[in-house]
Amino acid sequence: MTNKNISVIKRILEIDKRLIWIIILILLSVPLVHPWGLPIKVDQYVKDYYNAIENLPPGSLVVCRIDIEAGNLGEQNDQAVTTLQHLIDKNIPFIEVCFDRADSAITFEKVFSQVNKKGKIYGVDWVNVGYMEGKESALAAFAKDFTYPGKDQYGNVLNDLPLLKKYKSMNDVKLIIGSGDSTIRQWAVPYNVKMNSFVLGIFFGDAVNYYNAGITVGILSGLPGAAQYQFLRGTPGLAVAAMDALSASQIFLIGLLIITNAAYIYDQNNRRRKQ
Amino acid sequence: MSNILRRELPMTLAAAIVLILFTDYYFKNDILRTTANTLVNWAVVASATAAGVGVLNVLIRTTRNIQKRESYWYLDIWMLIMMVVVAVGGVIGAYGTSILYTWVMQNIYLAIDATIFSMVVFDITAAFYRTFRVRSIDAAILVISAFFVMIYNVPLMGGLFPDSIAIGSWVVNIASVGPTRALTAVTAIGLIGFAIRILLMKDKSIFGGVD
Repeated sequence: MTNKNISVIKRILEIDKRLIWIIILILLSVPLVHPWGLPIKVDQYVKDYYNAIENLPPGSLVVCRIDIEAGNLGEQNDQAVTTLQHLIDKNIPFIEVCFDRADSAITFEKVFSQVNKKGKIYGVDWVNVGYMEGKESALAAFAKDFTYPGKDQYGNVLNDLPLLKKYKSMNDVKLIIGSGDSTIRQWAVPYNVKMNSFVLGIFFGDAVNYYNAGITVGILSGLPGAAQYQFLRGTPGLAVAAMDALSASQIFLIGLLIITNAAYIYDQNNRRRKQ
Repeated sequence: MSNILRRELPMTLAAAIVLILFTDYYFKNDILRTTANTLVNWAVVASATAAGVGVLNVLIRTTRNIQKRESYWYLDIWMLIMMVVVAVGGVIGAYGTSILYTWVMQNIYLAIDATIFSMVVFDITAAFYRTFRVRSIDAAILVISAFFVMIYNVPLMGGLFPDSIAIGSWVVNIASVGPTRALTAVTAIGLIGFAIRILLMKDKSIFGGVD
């Protein structure tokens, strides 16, 4: 092996991490500014998620647990916006409630501000209960009686809202949209309600578990899920543009994985030979 | 007497609560349902009270840090100020609707949280580059699986070459689901066992292991 070869191998194995950061930054940002329009494959999970909402009869109640932490907005904003817009377009009334973190109520406001309400009336077509303390116990209490928290996010008495005069508990719900094991344990299974799961990409493995078992009917996983959903609905947004960025950065990382491992194996074999 | 108050009474109460909630989950009975609902509501109130205790704990700890001039004590002062501002803003009017609260959350908290989360991408890529190397048989299995899962995750590959994602799809949808499912089932069975132990007054861990 020549000294030139050794030098190249050494360089590959000791790339300055700042160089990788710069490349990733470029690959993530350029496609967002100038989308390339690369093709997207729509997964069956997403088709099922879309169909679960699309096939709801008018007037069916949906309960949304859009519990998005501020840091996850980048990945889940488009999932939530597209889902809420789909419900509004289909004239499906819904109740939003969150349990994980107090800031979920704020992120929901941010998400919902991007949705075209099309003249829907608060209290009649949708209700935002806001954040409920108590985690899983609160989920159970809310399922039994929607007016249990007393007041909604804006200080209205829940008992006075027309939507909650008509729909009282989880027994009246046709579809749950949310994530987490606790939603399945306290809502979907005990009340035998269909559930659409929208999750961060890293929780896809957990979500598939329940999908295969027939407990959840559809899954939106991370930004690709949002992009595929937007694609299905014919309303491409930021998530679709972000797919180009994701493709570019992932292909770079796959290339890096192959090159560094080839260099590593070559280097190890060379050392063994010398010994 | 002390033993009854410290041990027998709490354990009997815990066992009774477990029995009611356990039975309510599997059987339909109005009296049982009402009692279970009340207990669940109490749990929600108790949980909210625990959050208040948490705030008190933070107050005591940070005040002690400031008094002792521990490292970064000035940041503790800043944290206390912000805690008061957010708490006051949060309780003005309906929860989370005051201008003060929404301004702090939308313009400070959301921005900082999103920024910190986004910066993780750089650390993850650097860690990926340094650690994903075939140093052993185990590492080789991990790297090969990662390779196929990454191909599966590239939106372009699914769109242009659907066959290329077959192995990654198998890893994600079949290989990884089995162990996850087993773990979920075992955890559920373990929880039922835990509830039965409380019901039989055999488990003292919920009282901090008091004998």
